[in-house]
Amino acid sequence: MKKVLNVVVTLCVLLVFFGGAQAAPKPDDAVHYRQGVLMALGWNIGPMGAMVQEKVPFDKERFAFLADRVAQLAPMVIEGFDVSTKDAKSEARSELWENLPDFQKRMSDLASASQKLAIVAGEGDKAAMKRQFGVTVKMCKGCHDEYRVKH
Amino acid sequence: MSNEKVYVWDIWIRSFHWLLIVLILSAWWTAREGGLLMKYHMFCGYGIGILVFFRLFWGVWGSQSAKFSEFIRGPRIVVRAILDLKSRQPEHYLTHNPIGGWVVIAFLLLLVVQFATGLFANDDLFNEGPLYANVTKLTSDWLTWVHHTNFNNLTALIIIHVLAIFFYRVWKREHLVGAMLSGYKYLRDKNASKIRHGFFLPFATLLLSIVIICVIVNFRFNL
Repeated sequence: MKKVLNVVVTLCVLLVFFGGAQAAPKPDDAVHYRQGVLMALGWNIGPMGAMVQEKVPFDKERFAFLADRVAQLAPMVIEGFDVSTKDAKSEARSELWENLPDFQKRMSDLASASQKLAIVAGEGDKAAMKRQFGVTVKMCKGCHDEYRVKH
Repeated sequence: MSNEKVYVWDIWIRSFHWLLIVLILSAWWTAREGGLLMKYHMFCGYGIGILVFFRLFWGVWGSQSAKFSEFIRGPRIVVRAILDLKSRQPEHYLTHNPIGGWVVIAFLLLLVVQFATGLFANDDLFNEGPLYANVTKLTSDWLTWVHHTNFNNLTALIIIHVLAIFFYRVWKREHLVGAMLSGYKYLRDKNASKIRHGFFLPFATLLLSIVIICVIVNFRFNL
């Protein structure tokens, strides 16, 4: 009985120790997190762009579905841009950390624009959808141009 | 000075030159705006591609002043032309001078690289060049980088070109812009114009260039 208790206690201690270590995210994890969210954004924006350019038939329902996802994802990105990731290997340029308030404002503008895109998409006016899509992707490009390594 | 009005640039060379400016400026602006305007950026790219192919062919079988064989000169002549820049005498070339000739080649080379890399480029949003599907994302990213970097080379050469034209205007009193607009230079009368070409040849050359661009992009213009 005592032996079993010993094992249980040891396991609990180990769990707390390693579990605790995992709870504080490493800078690399934050980078992977934001890259994942940005990748997911791109994944959803791609087909929307194809529809907006009429490369594929414009499907209002699918567009609204994708717009909802984008509106969910856009506000999530900023969490990954923690100052602790400043020196982590990523495509963020040092200018981003020098102008952090500007970047944060741009990210919150993107969040508002994509929220508006989801609302507009729900209303179903195709011309308005295209217009708001243009406004939203311009914000993507804004930070890519300013704060992303040219490769 | 008994200078004579001599016809040096045919209408096709002049149209090529000014259209190229319009298309490069449009391509630059649409790329800077990005997003939905990239469609028009690609449209400019195809136009520039057609112009470049036309100019390459016109340099082989076009009118005399347009021919590469007429203005591509060896290093000794180029060096002499550079030393000649000191003198304030206007030059009397029926075509590009030996320095300008190589600048034409440099321009065409940069434009070919720009056109070719643009075909495979992507903007990491939803715009892709017409041949993007043929390469991996990694290759496309690299070609996109070349496309961006090479544009800086192009910009540098354009600045050098404009400064050179300004230099010839002020230092040598040569009206090169006027010549590119009207087609006429004022040259010593011993120089007689030999600019002539068949009526259909330029149209056939233009058609050939258009066909080549269509084939290169497999008729998928992404428009």
